[in-house]
Amino acid sequence: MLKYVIRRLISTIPTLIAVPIICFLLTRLSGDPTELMLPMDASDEARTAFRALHGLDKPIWEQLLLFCENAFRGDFGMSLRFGEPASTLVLERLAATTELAVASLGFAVLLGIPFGVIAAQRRNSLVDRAIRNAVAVSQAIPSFYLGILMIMVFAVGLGWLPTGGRGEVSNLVLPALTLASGLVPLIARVTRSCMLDELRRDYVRTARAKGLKEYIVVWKHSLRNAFIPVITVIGLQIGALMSGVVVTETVFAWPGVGRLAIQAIYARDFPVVQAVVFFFAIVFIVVNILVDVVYALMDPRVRYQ
Amino acid sequence: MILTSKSPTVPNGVNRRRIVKKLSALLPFLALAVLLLCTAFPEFLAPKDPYAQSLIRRLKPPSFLPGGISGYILGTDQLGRDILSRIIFGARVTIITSVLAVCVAAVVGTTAGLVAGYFRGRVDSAVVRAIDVQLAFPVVLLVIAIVAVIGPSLSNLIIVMGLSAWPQFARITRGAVISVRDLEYIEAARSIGAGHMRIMFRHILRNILSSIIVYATFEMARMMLVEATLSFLGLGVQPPTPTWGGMISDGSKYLGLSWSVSFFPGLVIVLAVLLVNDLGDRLRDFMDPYLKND
Repeated sequence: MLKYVIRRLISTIPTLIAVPIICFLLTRLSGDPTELMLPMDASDEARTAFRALHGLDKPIWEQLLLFCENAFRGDFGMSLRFGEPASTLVLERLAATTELAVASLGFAVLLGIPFGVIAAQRRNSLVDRAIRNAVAVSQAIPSFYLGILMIMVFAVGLGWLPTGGRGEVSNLVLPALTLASGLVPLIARVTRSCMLDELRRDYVRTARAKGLKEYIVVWKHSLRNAFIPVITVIGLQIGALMSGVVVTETVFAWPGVGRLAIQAIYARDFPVVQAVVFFFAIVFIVVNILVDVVYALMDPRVRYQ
Repeated sequence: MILTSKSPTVPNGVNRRRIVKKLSALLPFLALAVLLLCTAFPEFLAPKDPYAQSLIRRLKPPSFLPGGISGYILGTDQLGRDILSRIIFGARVTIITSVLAVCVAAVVGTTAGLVAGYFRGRVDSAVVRAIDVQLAFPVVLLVIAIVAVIGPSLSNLIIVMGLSAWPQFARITRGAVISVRDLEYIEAARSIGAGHMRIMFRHILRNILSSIIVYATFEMARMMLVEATLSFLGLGVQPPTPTWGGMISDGSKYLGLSWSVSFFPGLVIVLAVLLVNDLGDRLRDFMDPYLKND
């Protein structure tokens, strides 16, 4: 097991090197970062001072090395808009984003798995067909549009829930559902196909033959074996979830990292943009490692491949 | 089939059902034709000028609802512009960017995958590394950031969106190439003196083209969603050019006053993406009957 984890960690090294380089190149894409970050009417002295302050007068590879070094220490420079360190701004908003992500993952699992199991138990029933159609529609609906539809119906129309912001549990419901919407049908579909495989197995027949109640056979014995692919699917969707966070937080004015990124982009506050991209990439890498390790823990065959 | 064989005694009913079935099978192609016509000739299809503003007819509901003005079938937006006409004109940006972005992704990805799978060795591991690195990024955020830096022009959008999607094409192509590169017909081609380029592009590529085309169709649907998201965030093609995502964003500021400004462009996005995905399913079934999913 330890060997597997070490091998998995080593395989992330190229990505870990690439992440800060890509963040660095981001502000160099347009040529001169001074043009990008200073107002158009900045004086020549201000430009020179800005270059000296941020080390922009040094050779490019030296700048890159400095940037990488600072990035891994969590130092992306000062936010041009708030005058605070960019990484502090990201960390301050982390709790809100985590809250949203965990809530939506919770929704997705709590809704997706039961739907999938029921669909597998009753093939071609109404539930089964409804899930199949829901998958197609959920892949076609942009998350920001779904969010706006939910605001229209539940906030503006019925007045049940607030349109945005953070604080009460009621604030969390709509954004979390919006973010979960793409995952629910996906999890349901994977659960369904795995359960169909499992319910055909010999151990299920044995369990039934010895007189176990059907719900124990289905919900305990079979479901436990069907979990592994579901975890993989959730792991694969983390990237989509993070992109979803950016959009959903913007729609619902949720004060998290995603909204910070969009606001920073509008304000051309690039140290913050770099910090968010770096941070998201690192989280993404870590989550993927965790998913693989959990996967290997649950299925010993993976370790020996 | 089961339905039709159940009632053989009622030929009329059977016929009607078959006609309905045949017509509904044509529906996606009809919808696709409409979409393509909107892309090519919006001037002839739009009932109004999509840029004509009017303060007195702002945020009007659709004409079939109380309060609507006749002629403005889906109502008007916050500047009094006709929503239907703007939707028709908006098709162009979405279709052009997503088609061309997929072309960029397919050309870059397929070439990389071909070269990697054919030559293996160092080239292969370099390509695989590059794929892994790019797949380790939350791509939409990166696309948003890059577009913000280099500016949201049509060509920039196409290039950035296209480059964001190349790894999947490279992966599929590489896998397919590896599975055919040692087959007899490749050996035969080599034995009659065909060069690497000829074998790669003439023999291997032609053999795996159908799966790439099918994948490209699904990828196009995804690109349409990315384009809509960028437009919604104000990082797509800039106003006053109508874009579906931009229209939803406009409407989201007036949800309390009018639902139709956001509702209809979004509905059109959903239908268009469903349509393209459905087309992908049909293509897949047509090109490779074994791949039909359950």
